[in-house]
Formats: sequence, C-alpha cells, structure tokens
Amino acid sequence: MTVQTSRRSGGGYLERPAPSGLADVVETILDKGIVIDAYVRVSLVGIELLTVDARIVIASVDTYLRFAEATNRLDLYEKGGKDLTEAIGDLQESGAAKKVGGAVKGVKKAITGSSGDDEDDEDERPRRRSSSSSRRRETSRG
Amino acid sequence: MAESAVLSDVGYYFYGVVPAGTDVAGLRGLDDVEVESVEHDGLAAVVSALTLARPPGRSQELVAHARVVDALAQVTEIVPAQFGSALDHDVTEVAGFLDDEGDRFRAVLERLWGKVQLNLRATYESDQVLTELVQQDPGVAELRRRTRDLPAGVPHPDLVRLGEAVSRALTRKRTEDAETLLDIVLPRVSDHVVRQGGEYDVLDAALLVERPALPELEHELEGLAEVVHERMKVRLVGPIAAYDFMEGMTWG
Repeated sequence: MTVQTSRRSGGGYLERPAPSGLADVVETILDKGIVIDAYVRVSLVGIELLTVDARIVIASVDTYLRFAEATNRLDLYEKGGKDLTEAIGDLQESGAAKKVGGAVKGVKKAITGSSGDDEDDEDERPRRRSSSSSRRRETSRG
Repeated sequence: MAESAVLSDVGYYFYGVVPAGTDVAGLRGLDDVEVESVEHDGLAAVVSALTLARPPGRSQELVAHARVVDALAQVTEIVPAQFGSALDHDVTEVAGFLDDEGDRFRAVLERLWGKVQLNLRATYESDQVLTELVQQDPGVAELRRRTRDLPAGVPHPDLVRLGEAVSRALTRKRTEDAETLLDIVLPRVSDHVVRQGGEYDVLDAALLVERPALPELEHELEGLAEVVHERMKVRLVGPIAAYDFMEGMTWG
C-alpha cells in the first residue's frame, strides 16, 4: 500500500480546492442535475445567477485583439520556459522519476509524437536533452 | 390519516434522491434549515422546508444546495436535482413523486453505484504557451514582428490577423495536449464528459470514477501536474455528485 502523505508535501502542484467557492459552484452545478419541472411548485432560478457564469468564450475581434496584445507583450528573451520533454528529462535526472506514475512516463512520447524513442528502460539512462524545434534532437544511447 | 392543509407559503426544496436509509442528520440547506428525507420504496427524496415568498435564487442558495448535495455524494449515491426546484410541502406528494419515477431513480442510482464525479481542469500558463506559439509558428512570429510597434487596442487588420493566427495555433496545440491528458486519465475512469473551457484551458472534463480508483488517479495527476507545471496548471475538484452524468434527463 502506498503512503500518500510524503507525496503531498513534496511538490504539491495539483490544485485541490474545496468546491465551495461561488465560482466553482456555478461552474459545477448551474444547469446540471435532473429537471423535475412537472412536479415543481416554484422555481427559484433567477436572473442574478444567470449572469455569474462568465466563462463563455466567444470568438470575436475582441478575442483576437486580446490574443494579439498578449502575444506582443511577451518578452521572449526573458522567458526561457522548458518544453514538456525537457521538464520530464529534468524530473528523471533529479531522481523524482519514481514518484511519477507509469502513465505519465508515456507522456513524453505522446507530446513529441516520436515513435523511435524507447523510454521503457527504467535503469540508468544517459542524460537526454530534448530540443525545442529549432535544434536537432540528439539521441545518445549506451 | 388526517388530511393536513398544505401551507401555501412553505414548500419542500428538493436536492435530489438517495437510497433509503441514508443518514441526513445534521445537514443544513437553504436558509440554514435542517434537511429531511422522505422515504418510499427503497428511495429517499432529500428536501428541506422552504419559505416560498422570496426573491429569485441568490448565490447563497446555490452554495447551500451544492453543500448538501456534495456532502451526500461523499457517502452515498445521489441523483442530484437541478438548482431551484421546490415541491409542495406535502410528504404524500413527495412519496408519490418517488413512486412515479422510482424505476428511473433506481436505474440511475445503480449506474452511479460506487462512483463519484471529479472535475479536471488544465489551464495553460498564458505567457508560456504564447511564447511556444511564437517560437513554433512562423506565421505568428511574422505577424508579431510586423505589429510590435502598433498602438495596442486599435483594431489594425494585422493585429486582428495576429490574434486569429494565435487562436488557430492555440486550438491545434490545445487539441494535442488535451489528447495527451485524456490518454493518461481515461484508463482510470468509468466515463467522462468534455466541457467547454476558457480561452487558455487545455481541458475541462467531468470524470466519473470508481471510488477505489480515486487514490491512483490522484497520484497520476499529481505526477502529471509536477511535470507540466511550467506550461500549465492542473486542478482537480471533487468528489462531487455526478451532475454531468445525468444525460440531460427531464422527468415528469
């Protein structure tokens, strides 16, 4: 049986909020659940609640301008940013690989779409540095 | 049995249906009123007395509804009612309602037996994903170069084109990343519904999960959240009642 407690304190990247805030509740339950109108005496649904759900995405000129502005605001030379394959490589190096579940080890293949990579060996692996698109992928084995 | 006059200004707020015998003691619902259960033939309607003369539903009522339904979802199966339904304050009528719809309730409870819903939402770190798009999409990079010195907020056609290019590239990336996430998650769930997400959401999904599978699912998602944390944040809410798995049922 695995002990969960150490995992919680180490990293803790998964957000696990209690579903009690209004925004969460609206997302979760508004318009969901069974409708029993034929039996209902009174409905409490009012206009005030219908305006709370603000997550509707409408493709429009405003949306595009927002994307454009956000893209132009980027400071590309500051933002290194690892891509997913680098992040997984680092995780494996740091010895944290053991806490990564089996399914996540397969993530690398899916994200890069590479079929040649053989990630199945759990033993010491040579250091892999997977490239971003502008550099050639280096594969070192053995 | 004496026929009791139904008070016209009090109703029974309806939260949902659970198996008979479910303990609702101590649960408080709308207006902080104690929750009751009306039982009939193996089923129990979860209700609370409600003053009907009131303004239309407000946020505290929504929160109270969710609190009751989700508290019950921790311990049993529940067919959750949509927010805002009040029945007559008449136990006989409530029992009659359970009788009319009993077979359907039993079928849903059976389908939900041993399962709970969790909501999974993965959202891009916007600066990070936009940087990836500029680096990976030459069209986006070119339009960005062309528009960098334009004043913001003025709808110059090139700015709109840049936004459209970003939107298209983001959709492609989102589709790919969402598939990757689902590949990890789906083997561990009984059912799922993909929901409409926000602009920078990778995935917003309702998952129906067998209770014993929950710790392993959480473990996988914790590992995933760490691995992706520079690109996206991953959020798991629940267990909650199976709101998204009622298949749009309208009853009565």
